[in-house]
Parts: sequence; C-alpha cells; structure tokens
Amino acid sequence: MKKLTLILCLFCSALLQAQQLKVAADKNPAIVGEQIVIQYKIDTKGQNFKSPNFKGLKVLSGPNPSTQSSYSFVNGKSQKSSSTTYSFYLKAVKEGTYTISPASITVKGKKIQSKAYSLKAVKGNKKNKAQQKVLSDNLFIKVNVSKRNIVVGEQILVTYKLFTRVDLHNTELSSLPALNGFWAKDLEASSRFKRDVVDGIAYNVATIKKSVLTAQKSGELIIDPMKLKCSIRIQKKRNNRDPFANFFGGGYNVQEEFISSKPIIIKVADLPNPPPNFKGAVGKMSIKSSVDNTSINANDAITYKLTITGTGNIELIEPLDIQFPEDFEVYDPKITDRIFEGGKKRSIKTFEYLLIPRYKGNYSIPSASLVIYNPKKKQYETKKSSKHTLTILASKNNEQETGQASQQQVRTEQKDIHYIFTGGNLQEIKKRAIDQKLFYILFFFPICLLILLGIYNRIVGKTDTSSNDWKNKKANKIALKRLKTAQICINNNDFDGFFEEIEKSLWGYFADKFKVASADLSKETVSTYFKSSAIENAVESKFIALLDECEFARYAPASNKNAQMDAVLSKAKNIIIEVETALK
Amino acid sequence: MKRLIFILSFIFALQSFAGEQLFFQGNSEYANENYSTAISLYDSILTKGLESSELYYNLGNCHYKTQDWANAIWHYKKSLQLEKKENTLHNLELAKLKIIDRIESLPQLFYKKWWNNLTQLFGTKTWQILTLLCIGFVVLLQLLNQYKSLKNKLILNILYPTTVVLLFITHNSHTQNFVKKEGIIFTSTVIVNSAPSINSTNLFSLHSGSKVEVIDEIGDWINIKIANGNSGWISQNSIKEL
Repeated sequence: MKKLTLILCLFCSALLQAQQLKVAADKNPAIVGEQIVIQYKIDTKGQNFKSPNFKGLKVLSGPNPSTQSSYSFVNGKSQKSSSTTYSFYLKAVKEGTYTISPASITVKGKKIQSKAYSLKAVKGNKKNKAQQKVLSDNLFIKVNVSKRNIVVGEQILVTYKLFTRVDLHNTELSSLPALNGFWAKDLEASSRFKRDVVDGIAYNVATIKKSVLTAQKSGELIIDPMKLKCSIRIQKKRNNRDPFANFFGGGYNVQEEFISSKPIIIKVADLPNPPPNFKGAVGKMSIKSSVDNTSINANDAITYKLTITGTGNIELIEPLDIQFPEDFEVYDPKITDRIFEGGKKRSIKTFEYLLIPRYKGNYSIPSASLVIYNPKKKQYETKKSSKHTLTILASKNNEQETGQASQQQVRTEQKDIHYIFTGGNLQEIKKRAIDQKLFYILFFFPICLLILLGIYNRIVGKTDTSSNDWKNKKANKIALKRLKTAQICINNNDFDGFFEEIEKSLWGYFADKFKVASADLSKETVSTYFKSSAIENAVESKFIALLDECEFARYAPASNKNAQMDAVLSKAKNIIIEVETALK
Repeated sequence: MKRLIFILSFIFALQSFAGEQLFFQGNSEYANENYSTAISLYDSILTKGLESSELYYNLGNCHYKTQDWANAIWHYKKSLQLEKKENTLHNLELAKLKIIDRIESLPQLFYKKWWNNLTQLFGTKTWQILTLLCIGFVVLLQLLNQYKSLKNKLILNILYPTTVVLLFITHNSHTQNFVKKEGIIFTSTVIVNSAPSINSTNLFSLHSGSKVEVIDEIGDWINIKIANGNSGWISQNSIKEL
C-alpha cells in the first residue's frame, strides 16, 4: 500500500512537473546595455499566453513563440513530447534588481502561472562597454537621402545601407520605417554585400532598401528609423583540450543584436504661388504629341499620343485637358508608363487617345500644355505640345453624314460671359423717374379738375341748354318705351290696333306722369294738369290734337294708312319728349 | 438766360464726350485683358456723374474677369436697373454660379410672375409717362364729351380700365425700383443674427455676392431678407446697396 502511494505521488509530481511554465534567463546577473533573453517554456501545447510585466526593462522583441515536438521510440514504447517556448529579448537600461511578474498560459482549460523572476543588472566592466562600442562601430545602418530641403511634389531617393565588419549570420527586418506624408515607391535593392572602404576601414556594405519618396504635404516630415535584427556569429574561445574542435575551427556562439537607423527630418516647403493651371507636376519634363494620321475618312479612328518624358513625379501626372474638336468622339486615354527609379531617372508616360471624327472638314487639335515646377531653377515652366491640323474626308461607308438623321444641333455651352458693350449713351445719374409725389399730383390733378367741372355743371348749369342734352335723351327713351307696342302694330299693319294703342299710350303716359286716376281721364283734366305744371299751351293743344286725330282715324279710313301711321307715331314721340322736357 | 443754358448744355456735352472717351479707353484696356486698368477708367466715368447700363455691364465683366464676384453681381444688377438686356442676364447667371451661397427663391404664383414680368417690361419713368398720357387722354375725351356728345365711346371705355391698370403698374414699378432697397453682400462671410446685437443668436451665415433685401434699419444694423424667405440682422457695412 505504501508503495502504491509512493508511486502515485511520484506520478502526480511528474504530472505537475509536466505542466509547469518554466522561466529562465540566458544570463543572470546581466550587464546593463546588453541583450538578455528570457524564455518561458511549457512542455505541452498551451493557449492564451499572457506576457509578464517587465518593469523597467526595455523589450526589444517578443513574445516570439516557438514550438518543438519530438517523437521517440524506445524499447518498443513510443513517447511523444512537445514544448513551446516564448522568448523575450530585453535590455536593462539601468543597473538594479528587476522583478518580472509571473506570466500565465492556459493548458486544457487550466491556467498555469510561472514564478516571478528576479533579474539583476550590473554595470558592465570597461571591456564590455568597449565591446558594445566596437559592435556599434562595426555594425550599423546608414541612411542616405538625396536632398533634405525640397518642395511639395519633389522627389528624393532614400537608401538604407547596412555596414558591417562582423560575421553576420542572418538579418531580419524588425520594423519598416513609417513614411508619413510621402508617397513611396520601393526600388529593387540588391542585398548582396560589397566591399566598401570608409575612412580607411573596409566594410561589407549591403543596400537593404532603396525607395523614392515624393513629398505630399509641406512641413517637417520625419523618416522614421528602420530597425533590423542581426544575428552575429562569434567564435568560441579555443579550447586547447579539444583537438577536434580546434581542427574544425571551433564552435560559434550566435548573438542577436538590434540595430536601428537614425530618424531623418526632411524640410518640405510649399510651392511658391502656383499658377491656376498647375496640377502638381514637379521636375524636369518635356511634352510631345503625335497623330498617327492627319488625313483620314470620317468614322475612322485616329490615335493621338501625348508623351511626357523627363524626371520628376511623372507617375503622378493625370491626363491633361485637351480641347478636342466637338465633332470628335473621344475615348478615355490609354495610359502607359515606363518609370525608372520612381522618376529619378528619365522616365516616360504616354496618354493614347482614340479619336473618331464624325464629320468631314478641317479640324485642329490645339496644343496641350503642362505647367511644371522646376525645383532646380525654382520657377514654373509651361511646356506645350505641338498643334495638329487634321483633314477629315467624307465617310467611306456612305453613311448619312449630312443627312437628316445625323444632323446635329449647334451646341451652345454656357462657359463664359458675353463680351462687353462697345457703345452706349451715357446719361447723368439720377434721372430715372419722375418723383412719385409729383407723379401722383400730375395724375390726380386732371381727375380733380374733371370732377370739379362736373359739380360746377350740376349747380350752375341747370338752365344751360347744353346740359339739357341728356334730359332729352331720357325723355326720348321714355317715349320709345311707351310707344313700343304701337311700333309693333305698324310692323303688323294693324291699322285699328295702332291708333288704339297710340291713344292708350298717350293716356297711360299722362295718367302715370301726373298721377291721375283712370276714371278722371278727360281732355279737361289734361289742360288743368298741364297748366298747373306750367306747360306751354302749344304743347297742350298738340297733345289734344293728337288724341283727336287718333280717335278720328280709328273711324275714318284713310287712303294712305302707312304714311299716316308713321306720321302719328313720330308726332306721339315728339309730344312725349316735349312734355318730358317741359316737366324737368 | 439763353446764353446760360447754352453754356450749361455745352459743358454737359463736353463732359459726356470726355466720358465717352474714357469709355472707349476702358474698352480697349478690357480687350487687352488689363482688367484693373479698365475698372479704374470706367469708375472715373461714374465719378463724373455719368452712367449707362452698358457702363455698368462692362464694369461687371471686368470684375468677373478679376474674379470679384460680389462686385460683378452688383454692377450687373445696376445695369439691369437701367435697362434689361439679354447679355446682362446671361452674365449675371454665370456670376451667380460662382458665389458660395445658392439661395433657392420661393416659388411665385403664376399671376404674380406675369405681373412682375409686366412691371419690369419698362422702366418706372416710362410707366409714369404712359400713365400720365393715358389720364390726359381720358380727361380730354371726357371734356369733349361734356360739350359735344361723343358717338363712339369705345375709346373711353377702353381707356378707363387701362388707366387704372397702368396706375397700379407704375406704383408697383416704383416700389420695386425705388422703395424696395436691395443690396449685395461684400464681406466674405457674414453671420446673420436674430436681433440687432452681437450677442443675439446666430441664425445662418451669408457669403459675398448674395443678394439681400433691406427691410429695416436700426443704427448700424439692417434687417435683411433673402430670396428663400429667411430674414435676420446684419451690420450695415457688410453690404453695398443697389
């Protein structure tokens, strides 16, 4: 039983052993400024590794996980083991004792913690420092910038070179320089080492990176440092006791070092007063245009080629504004470029336009112009391509070129203002209207005059004959109204009815006018009422005479009835008018 | 007296001749694209107390070419006040496209539009003269009618309503051209306030070249209204009245 317990205990401890997160440093105490590697190792596969807190220590790199697995077959028993190592590259800046908090990892759902690790950093002796110094003298990155003061759009060539005098085993880019505010284009860089002598010391030099940067904005732009991880092989000290090792040149220690370049500040100035048609081309360029055919048939294609050659930010040039004739169908240009070293070397960019003229005639393609800022001369230059004159012949296919179907409306685009007037009458300022008060006076004065005149006529002009005109008119109207039925009788040739009607009308008129009851109607009442109304005797006698005539005519047939009727009607009319006028 | 009139008219003729000379000089400077010189030449005509719709139009063009949109619009408007011309309207439209503010004007009812178009057919002076002629005719005919009855009254029957309509048109034209104050904003940005004080709420902002209608004035502040119906207060010196 005791044995069993012991076995179990051992087994458990073995299990525990397997699930431990071990921590180890490659050297303890470490030397200030030197690189320290701290490794966390676990013998199974783990997940969710949580980095410890390296208080006061500078982390150069990490965590860098690496997994190892082995499969062994011993004495008919197979054994499988795997381990994961997380390594950190650290550097102590100051001497002292550092406590690294525990790291943790999850294995099969169980969280495993490492022990806290205490690291001692001591001041290195002189030899060590010198060694460090020697290293930085022997292994460094140098950045070459072609120009440090540029304008927006100007290009610079940046070259990163690795200088080394040590036995480099391997290099690895740890961080690429951030290029804020630049448009970067990497060029091919050969990483082969060449020998180069600087200050009498021979180095192995390799160009790690080469890029052309185009400044996109003004200000002080910083090219951030490039970091490189180098593995250096250091020969082990000769071990006199091992002849084999001596024979094979001994062993090597691989030491890892991080080196970085210095940040570089580029001063980018704004372009001085850019002209309105400047589109950002900076450099030294020339422009050329060509047409493959100057005389073709309508509806055939022409290729118009615009070539820009030179150095500068040629790659960024957009298609130019070219005023092609309105009758040409223009397709988007085909853009090809051959850029050498990002435009630092003579490069070419071509725009190929396909044009299809639709109508015959003589056309011209005006020259395209490109405004370039020349940073060397510090001035703007306008480059113009040549002008082309094209003769378009009638279409071969006999399409209805000038027919109704393809007739084109004259296009009027509102692009520019009309030209100035060249003539015109100048006049004195402020004579644009009659004063509104004066206007109203002028307007209402004649109206008032008219009204006043009317009032005056009302008051004064009763006896005025001329003002009686309209009274006559009224009387006339009344008479016509009264004699309306009589008129109808004339039209119907109703002789008896006519005279009866006239008599009736006259009596009726009299009765209405003087408000006499119909029973009192007689010739005597006529004379009395007429007299009381101060109507002349002549009128009275005429009235009575007419009544008599009507009465007589009704019983004594006349020879000319129609003439008599007309005469009587006009007489009746007159008499009514006369009475009316006399009464007023 | 006659001599005085003669001398005065001679002086005026001389002055207008000098003005015309300046006008032609300005034209040639414009043709040579020396716009600022042309502006100063044209302006010197205005300081002589002479004007014409063409002069304002040309000044508008000069300011347009020097990209001074507010001034261009102001001069085109001034030219339109004197005479309505196709070219001026066209250029004004183009100049309006260049300014920052795009104010959608309130839609007008069709009869109002017709009425306004009718009003703007002639200048106020022409309308005034027409109205006075009409009323003169009416009174004359009426007088004639009193003493000798007119047989054909059709003319009078037409003239009465015509006169009334003409009176309304003249009144409208006068209000639009002389009573209603309009201005163009000349400062690049103006904040329109809700009340005539700096501390009041900011309603909206206007930019140079926009046309405003002046409704009221209090001290240095003016109450303005823009075409979309919004109104507010701005300081007087930010606009140039038409």
